[in-house]
Amino acid sequence: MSRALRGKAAIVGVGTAGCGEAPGFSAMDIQAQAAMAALDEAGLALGDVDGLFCANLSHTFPVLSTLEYLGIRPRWFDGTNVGGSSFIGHAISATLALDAGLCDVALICYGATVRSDAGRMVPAPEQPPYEVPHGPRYPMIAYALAAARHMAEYGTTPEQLAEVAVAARAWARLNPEAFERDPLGVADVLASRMVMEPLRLRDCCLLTDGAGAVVMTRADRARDLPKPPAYFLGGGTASYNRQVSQMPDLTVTAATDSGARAFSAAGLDPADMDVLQLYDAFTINVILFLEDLGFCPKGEGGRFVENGRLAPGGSLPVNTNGGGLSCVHPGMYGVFTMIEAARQLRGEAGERQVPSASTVLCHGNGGTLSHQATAIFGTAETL
Amino acid sequence: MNAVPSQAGPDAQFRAYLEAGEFRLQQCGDCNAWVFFPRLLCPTCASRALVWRKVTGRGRVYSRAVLKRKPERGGDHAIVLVTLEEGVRLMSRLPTTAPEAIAIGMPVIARIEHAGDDPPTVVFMPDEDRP
Repeated sequence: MSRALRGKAAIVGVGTAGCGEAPGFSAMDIQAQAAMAALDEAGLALGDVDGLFCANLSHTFPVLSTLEYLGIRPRWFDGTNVGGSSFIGHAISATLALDAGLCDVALICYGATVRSDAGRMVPAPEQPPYEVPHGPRYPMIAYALAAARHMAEYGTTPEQLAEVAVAARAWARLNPEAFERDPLGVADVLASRMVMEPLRLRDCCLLTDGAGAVVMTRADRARDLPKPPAYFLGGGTASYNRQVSQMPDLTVTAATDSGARAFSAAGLDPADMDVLQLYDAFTINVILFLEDLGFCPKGEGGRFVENGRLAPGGSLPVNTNGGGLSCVHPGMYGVFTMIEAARQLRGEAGERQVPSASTVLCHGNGGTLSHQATAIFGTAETL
Repeated sequence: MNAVPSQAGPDAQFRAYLEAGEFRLQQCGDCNAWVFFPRLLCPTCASRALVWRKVTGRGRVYSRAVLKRKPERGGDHAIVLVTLEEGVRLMSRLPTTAPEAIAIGMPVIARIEHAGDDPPTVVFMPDEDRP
């Protein structure tokens, strides 16, 4: 894949708002707060934003509702909605638009108040007509089926799935912004209620309110802004199916292609990654993505995550904010992977800071294991 | 003998066959790939020469998940993905089999379920004739 976009743009501001519970506020309210926080960090004003990138599950036209609320008149828009991975795709297309001069300041943002509104994951209104009559619960059915198949094919165990949740919680305990910060061990995960066999309650991500925003500019401008830039080094996307029943192999996601494309575009390998942010809607996701992105062989993901490898003090820091499992998960999580990536690359992650992190891989999953997007960010020294 | 009006789209054709008691799927006349869900082109080779053919209904459970529910909410509900002998996969249920008796890899055979006013669906039961 072309390296034409390597280092062309950077994240110059990130912001969050309403993470956890935001009763009384709308999705657009907290999204605006996150956007303002990101712009403040970047030393930019709302009026500077001329490229807008949004996706959500609550609005028919997310970019239009957002620009109207913010009172901005962008000249470039991307409302591509492929699920929670959309925002990582947006970072790739924002880099492309910035490099082409279609916009100068790109705002990628998301907000949702699913916890305060319904208290449960509200699936998209349109669902696959040949699946629905059989009574699946979305989106969980896809991940339960994938986990069951992975367990049958490779001997992956409930204890190994639990290791993923335990590592996420250990990171969350170091993050003041994380929603769940009580101690959690493997035995606690195994003792939690079975929700959809083989997945237990603690195999499932949180359901919180929350908003996140990322501001990107071209690299030349990024250098002069207040925060150390998190440079875009490469990205890739892939999808083979929308419905889980159409997925060619439940144990192999399109991350095999999105990851290979991202590494190729960045000119880097898995071994070059200091920190990973992997969309952990369910514990099985992390195992699948570690395999598909090339951090361990197919089928070895369960054994790979044992003994705290992903946790603080382990050899491969994964989901250092606590992830969707323990930090924040307002229905779509993708944008939060890039927020944590920027904070790690700036050295601003406090107690959870990975020493001298210079590369971070962000991976988003969309739909029901349907769409995968990977982007790699790095410090100035990686250019 | 084709009982289905020729102007019916592929979803309506599939349903009409089920209502007539036949489990038919489309097969590509060019590359022989079987196609599910019903559509107007072959997703393997892009041919539009799809032909409705009877399938054996034999398959194996590819994966299973069990939604845990209290008895008053309907009790545990098992959902399966079945890979048919023809190679296509579909989501379904084994309505007459206890969730704990459903294992990945077990042989199953299709039957058409007519439930009330709902459109007929393809469900499965254990295939006692195969190991």
